[in-house]
Amino acid sequence: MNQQAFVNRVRARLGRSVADGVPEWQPSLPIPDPGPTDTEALVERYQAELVKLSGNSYRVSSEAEIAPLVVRILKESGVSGHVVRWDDPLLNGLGLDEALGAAGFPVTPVKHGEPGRPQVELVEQAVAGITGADFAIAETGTLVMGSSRPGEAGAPGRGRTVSLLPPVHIAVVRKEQFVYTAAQVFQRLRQMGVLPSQVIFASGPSRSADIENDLSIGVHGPAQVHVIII
Amino acid sequence: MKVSLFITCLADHFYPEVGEAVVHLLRRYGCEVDFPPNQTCCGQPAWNTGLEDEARAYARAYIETFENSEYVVMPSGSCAGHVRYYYPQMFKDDKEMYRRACAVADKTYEFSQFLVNVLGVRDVGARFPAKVVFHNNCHMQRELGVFEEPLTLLRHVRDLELLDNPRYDLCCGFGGAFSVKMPEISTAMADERLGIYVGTKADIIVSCDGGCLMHMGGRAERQGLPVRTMHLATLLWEGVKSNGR
Amino acid sequence: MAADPHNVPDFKTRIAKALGDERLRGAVRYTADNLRTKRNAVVADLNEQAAQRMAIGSFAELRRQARRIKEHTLKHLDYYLEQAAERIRQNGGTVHWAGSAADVVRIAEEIAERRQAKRVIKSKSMASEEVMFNHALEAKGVEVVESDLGEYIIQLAHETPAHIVIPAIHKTRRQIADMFGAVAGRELTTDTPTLTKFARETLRKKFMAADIGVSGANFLVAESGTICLVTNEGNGRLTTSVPPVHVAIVGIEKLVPTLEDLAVVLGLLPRSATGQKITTYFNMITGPRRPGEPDGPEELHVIFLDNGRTNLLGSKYEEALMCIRCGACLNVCPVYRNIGGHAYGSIYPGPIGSVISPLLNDLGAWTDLPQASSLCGACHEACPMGIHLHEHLVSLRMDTVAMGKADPGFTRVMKLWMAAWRRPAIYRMAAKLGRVAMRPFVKKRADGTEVAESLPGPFAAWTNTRNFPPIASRTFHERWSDLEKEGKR
Repeated sequence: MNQQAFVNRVRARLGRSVADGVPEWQPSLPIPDPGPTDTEALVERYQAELVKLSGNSYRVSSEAEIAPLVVRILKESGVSGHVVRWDDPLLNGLGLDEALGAAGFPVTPVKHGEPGRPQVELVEQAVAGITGADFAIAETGTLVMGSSRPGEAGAPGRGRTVSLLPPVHIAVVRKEQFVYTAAQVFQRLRQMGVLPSQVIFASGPSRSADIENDLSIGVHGPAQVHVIII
Repeated sequence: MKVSLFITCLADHFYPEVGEAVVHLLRRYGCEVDFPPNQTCCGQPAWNTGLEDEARAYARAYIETFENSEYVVMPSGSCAGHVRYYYPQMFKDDKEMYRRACAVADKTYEFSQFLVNVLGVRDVGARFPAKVVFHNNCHMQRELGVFEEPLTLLRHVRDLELLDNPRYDLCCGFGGAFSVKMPEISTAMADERLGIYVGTKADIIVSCDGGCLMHMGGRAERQGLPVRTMHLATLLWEGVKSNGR
Repeated sequence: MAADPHNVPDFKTRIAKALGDERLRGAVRYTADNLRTKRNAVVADLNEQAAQRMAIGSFAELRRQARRIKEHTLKHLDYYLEQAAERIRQNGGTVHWAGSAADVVRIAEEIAERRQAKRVIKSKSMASEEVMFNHALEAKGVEVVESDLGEYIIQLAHETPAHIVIPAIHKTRRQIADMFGAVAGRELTTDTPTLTKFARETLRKKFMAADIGVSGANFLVAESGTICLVTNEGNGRLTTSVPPVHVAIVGIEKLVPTLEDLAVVLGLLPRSATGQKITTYFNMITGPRRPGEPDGPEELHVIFLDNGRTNLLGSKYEEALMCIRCGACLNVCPVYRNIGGHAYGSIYPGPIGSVISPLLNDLGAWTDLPQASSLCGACHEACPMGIHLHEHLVSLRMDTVAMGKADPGFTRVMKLWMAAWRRPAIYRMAAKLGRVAMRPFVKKRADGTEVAESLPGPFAAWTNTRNFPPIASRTFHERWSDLEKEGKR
């Protein structure tokens, strides 16, 4: 069936015609912004929510603390092998590659531009994926990650799979990226215009209750989520 | 205050003592009770089995019988829910009948709803030594929005222990014709419901609807369960009598 | 829609089978109660947060907003479909229009053929179940693997989901271990971590080898052409990120106008489905991989599915298209908890299934389902969209009668009875006659009370399992004159 025939059938059922034009719609928002606006309160709430979801969070006061912390997290995770990360300004200046490489975790930034799927296979073999985030939602302990930087067309270098395929996901997020509700994120995404090809809201590790209602962690996505807050 | 009694077909045929209790209790509070002899049934059985025209005919008859009454009171949350919720809907395409349906719906009350909300009664002065659990009739709690009223009345009965109903949301499985069209599911529902009540160690399941009482009572008897059923009005009136007031 | 092969044998037989399966009923009740308890807790929490201005709205407020969104979208669905299609194409996707289940299959086959695809991986999608996608593609020699853990279990068992949110509730860990063991070719222990690890490893290989990933959509944002998926396991993300082609099957009722509307519907869906504030993953897909991106599918196809939905538009049942497939109505339904999902014979069980299965198919072939309800209204109370499910069941019963498809014997008796009983004189006379007619079946007990334990004809359906009270020796009508006199004293 073509679009014309399909839509015409719908239109006929509704008793509408093409001449009816654009419907008037006031989006559900702005719903008045609830919750705290104070960054400290947002971060605290985020951490409290993430713990409930079996995720881990860490606070650091300087960028210099991040690389050693990531090394520690990986060592404590008991994994060994190579690590992938976003090729993104958020992460490029943190000295991750040197520190992790020295500790026995060779890092590959996920380069873009290759057609085919070599990148996915590389990511699939990695023991951990390191990403940044575009937003962190305090109310639900959620990280929001675009496959490219929202609002910047042609700014890739992130990849959809870095936070998905490896068993450990480590994210670095800055205090100013915290908001209280998902509603605020949707509002900002809308204002930014062009959306990334994929935006993921991730709240803690992958979970399932499909076997006798028993909670299991890490069924397809990462079993460990570590969020480092600067 | 003048009150017209709508007895409901189930109470009329199977539980007339419930009607007597309602009349006595209403008179205690100075109500002048009348009983229009032309009343039959609210028509819910027709509505629920998909007989729309027949259901509408019952609604019309009820409206004609009771539209001059000051209040209409009935010992069934299900029937009251049907009148209040569905009668106006049935006539939404007929302006004049819609108005009349709304008017009569507005003055229709389930018995405990009337006692508490209109007469302002909380304590009828009854004594009834028993462990009681209250069964919330589905239509009463969902369509009529009556939940606390019967509990309020029961809480004020002396020597009565009102037990918590752990699953007030669960239907007993009566559902009118459902009970004979889908008897296996209906019985399974009654068994689960009764199992929960027996688990509370209640002596009596009290309800405000003849349908639920007939269904749970009939199943409890058949299974020989150590629990009996009773209408709220009957319990209150017997409690008043035994309290000698 | 084609006749559903699951709709056999007849309903009564399926009910009897389900009621005889204590383990199934135990699992269904446990799951329903578990989900209901979690939902109630998260709703109470939301209401408390809203009262302190710590949430965008109470549950009631979100429900009101969500109804407003869906009502508006459905009333202008033609416009939003065209807008969404245009945006999806601008984003680099391809749009297909499927009027029927067969159309979906044909479109998918064409895509598979062009890509020379041999392996399809799927994330959980009710729309794909509805069109019997797996069955059709497998007939064409394409392997289709379900990747949701529950769906994978169901697929290995060659069964259909028992619950729309947690499909494999009826399977024990022993059964699951046996099925997984058969695939693995070795014995597996029954602990959850072992079973989960096996599924992860097995399905990961399937993901990496898949030519096409197939998903549904929970919402589709018209203004941006964004497909939204709500998942917990991450298989939805894998399906839409790893294979070179992503095909999304999207029921036309999934549209919302703007990105800002998502906050409301996303606020309701996970809470109502599993009692979560938000699912682990919420995935927003706006087009295939863009130039320079390291991963993501090369092609994105959106198949808009009608399959009977249009018939509901502009009808008294339009509201049923607001359903967001959360399963809350199943979890509170006293019928569902006793018979489970399979007995309904449709991929959509429970109250919503009893409403939409006849509407999306042919009511004449599905007249039993609307009867399977005591009309208690718990479904309407629980529905995050406030769909008047029990009222629609009554409407469907009315339509069944009007079509002449209602149980003829029962309906004739009801009609005659109802027509006669409405007349006050006959009503009063009937009590007397009934008393006489019942007399042979009434037993006097030791305590003087009377009971009927076995009645003939249609009443046997009652007395087979329940006692019936005799008609009172004096009805209230007959007692009134005494009461009236008493009142005058």
